[in-house]
Amino acid sequence: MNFPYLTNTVIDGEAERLRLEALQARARDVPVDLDAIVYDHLCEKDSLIIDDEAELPDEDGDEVLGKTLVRAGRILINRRLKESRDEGRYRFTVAHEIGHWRLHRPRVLASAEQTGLFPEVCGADVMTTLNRSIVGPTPPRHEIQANRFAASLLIDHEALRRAFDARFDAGVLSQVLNQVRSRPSRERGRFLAAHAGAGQGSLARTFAVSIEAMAIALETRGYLQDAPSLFSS
Amino acid sequence: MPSDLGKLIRQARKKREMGLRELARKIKKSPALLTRLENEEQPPSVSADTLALIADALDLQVDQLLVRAQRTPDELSPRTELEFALYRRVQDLKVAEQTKLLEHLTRQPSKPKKS
Repeated sequence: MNFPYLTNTVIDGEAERLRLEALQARARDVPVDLDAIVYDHLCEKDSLIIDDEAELPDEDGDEVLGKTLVRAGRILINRRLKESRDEGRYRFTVAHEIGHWRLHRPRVLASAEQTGLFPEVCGADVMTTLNRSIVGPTPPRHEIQANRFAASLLIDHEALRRAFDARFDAGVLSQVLNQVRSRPSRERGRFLAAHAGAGQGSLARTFAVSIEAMAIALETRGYLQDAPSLFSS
Repeated sequence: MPSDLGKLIRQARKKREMGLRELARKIKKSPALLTRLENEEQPPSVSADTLALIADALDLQVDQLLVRAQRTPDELSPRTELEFALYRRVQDLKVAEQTKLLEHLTRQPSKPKKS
């Protein structure tokens, strides 16, 4: 099944809507209470079944991080993620699968209803998230959308702005970035994501996401372009 | 379609306005396991001890859960030919007869087992 193009505004809006529906007054809390979104909202309201200790063998020579089973209404998360205690990777994968649940599952079900074909016939009953779907250079469109959704869900735009400003005023930002001025932007993003300010944890830790996820958020949301003069020699 | 066991647990949990995470904390299991237990047609196998903890948390009789999970606790498993024969006979009785028999046995003071 070919999923339609979705603008970033649509994807971000869907993530925001879910956070508000599920967390209400706590929608802007950091880190986002992902368990409340999953267990208190999606499992209760949508009867989502989640198995975060699933045995998922590698496919196509790559690690399977998760799956969304459309008709069965299930999300599977590779048990290795929980066992490795890599909270950021676990949360991002769960949020990515929720992205499929919110952005793609309704479209697959609607298409199945209209065509009279079961989702498995439409070829989209099982959405498999391989490691390269998240970190690879050219993931399929629906994987890019789920990644965008996950980042938006876990790293609220307003909350990031506040957290960023609290850590990096112009002077501090200039000082910090000067240490990595000649590096590529992703690397500068990683540096900022992992930088622990005075009395404050790093942005990655504060939002309970991986350094990579935070670096991408900083890069794609224009935080590294705020001070372009810093990077000129 | 959820199992009878799942339906009963979910219904009782909702009645008590208890979240999945709260119940999971009480029974020391993951909330993910509870979503499967409540919603899957063939729920994952859980021990009689876990069912007892669920029953306790939700003010249910453990037997209500055991019967729906089709689990017989070890202490109730027949061990002798006589016990097997008795179980079979009791199973063959109609519900009304079983009820009468239970009432009758309940009225009798239980005596220690002879070896």
